[in-house]
Amino acid sequence: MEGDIPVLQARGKTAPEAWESSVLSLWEQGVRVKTEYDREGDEPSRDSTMVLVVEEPMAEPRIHLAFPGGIEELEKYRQEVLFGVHDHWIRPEEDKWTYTYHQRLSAYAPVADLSSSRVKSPFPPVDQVRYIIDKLAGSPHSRRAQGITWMPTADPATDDPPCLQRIWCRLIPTGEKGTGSRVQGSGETDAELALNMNTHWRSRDAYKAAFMNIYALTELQNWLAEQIGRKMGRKVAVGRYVDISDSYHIYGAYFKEFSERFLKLVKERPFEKRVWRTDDRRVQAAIQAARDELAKEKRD
Amino acid sequence: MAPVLEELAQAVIEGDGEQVAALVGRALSEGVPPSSIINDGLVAGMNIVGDRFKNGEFFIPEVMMSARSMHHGLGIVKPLLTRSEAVSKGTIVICTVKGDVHDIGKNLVAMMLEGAGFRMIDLGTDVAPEKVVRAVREQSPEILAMSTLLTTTLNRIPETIRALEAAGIRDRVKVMVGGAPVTQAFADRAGADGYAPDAALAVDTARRLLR
Repeated sequence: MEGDIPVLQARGKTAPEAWESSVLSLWEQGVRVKTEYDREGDEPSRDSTMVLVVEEPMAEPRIHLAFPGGIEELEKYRQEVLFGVHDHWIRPEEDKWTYTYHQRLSAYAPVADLSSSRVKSPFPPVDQVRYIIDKLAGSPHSRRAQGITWMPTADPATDDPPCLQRIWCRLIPTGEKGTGSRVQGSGETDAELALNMNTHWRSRDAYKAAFMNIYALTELQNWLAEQIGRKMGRKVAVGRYVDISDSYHIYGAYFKEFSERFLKLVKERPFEKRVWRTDDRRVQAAIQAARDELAKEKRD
Repeated sequence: MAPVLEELAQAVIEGDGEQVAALVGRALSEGVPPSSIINDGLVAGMNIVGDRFKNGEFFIPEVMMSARSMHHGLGIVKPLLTRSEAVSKGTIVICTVKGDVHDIGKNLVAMMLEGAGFRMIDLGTDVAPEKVVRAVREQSPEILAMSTLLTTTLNRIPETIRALEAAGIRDRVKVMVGGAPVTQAFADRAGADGYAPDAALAVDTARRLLR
């Protein structure tokens, strides 16, 4: 209806399939609307509310080739989100970052002013990632395993507040009808569990940021499943990943590049040629190079 | 041209660093001169990648992978060049401005320019104007390339250009700029000599500035 932001849904077995489908449906069905980042002369952006489902988050191929970087950057971003390798760039007093997702999730401590990293919070930092692991390992039925990023005390006033708002996790038994009574095909009484994860995003650059986000967040889901499983002494599989964006958009400034590269290559190349597997020899070498570089940065 | 050089160019296009290293070794054992391995194999392959990227036929990670494989080959061959062979199309100092630690766009531009035969001096990210001034003074590049991804650090571009003016070396170097929030109008206002809206066009801009 006129005046509504469309609510779109995209689904795929793998992350690249689901992401590509989401961007194509946004392009076809998104509403044309201005954003505060559109530059003079840019066309209005294409926007929607998007619900994106990845059925098997860790299934290969894992990498779509339409992201703005190399494999090294993707691996560094993965480590930024999971392990905080760029938390040292949180130095707003030098015009650098005001946060990272890792910092907000693993050391959430609301402050009233983000202009300096020296401003102290009245609250001790909360490790919400550790909480999710402990909560689900101790109470597998819990619906409270979540972590937030938003600081209403300070974020609204900043130039670049977090897009990711919340992650929510839940364990679901993989036994018959989800009751946990039986592992499928095994006859065992102690069911396997699958870690399902939802991520909620305020605003999202669908074309240039969303795929890297999805890659890193599904890696986080996989890591959380391993940690919970280790703590429980049980196997925890990776369940479906759901990614909900309030504003999922393609900026008008990207339309030329989007049409002349992305849409062209979607039309001209088969899907297998638009993706890479993480076990590809070339990809493995680039991942190792990124790891070596991060290790060197840490030593220096 | 030796068939091994065609295979080498193809390995660069496919971004296969391991294959590139093997083919460089084979070319050397066949007596192909190092300068020819670079120009007719490695750079030739990267030029095709650049053209395909410009025509919307390659994704960015593919360009980065090709550039990586070319680097792999260059690392083997460069030490074997004689002084007279080690001539580049020009030297470019490149950086992301002070306050900005984003390097993806800057790295892509640097790789495309290196693939086009320029000697690149990469100062990295978060580079203060005084460091840029020092590099221009010491390295005497033909071009200084600066980028930023953030609107909050956009004004560091004109600040750096003013620092070159204050140091009395602005006329020694051409300045080209780029990055998501940068426009031609901004580049003109900042006093830059050239602007590239994306990495593919950065090579054209650099060539034009040196004409």
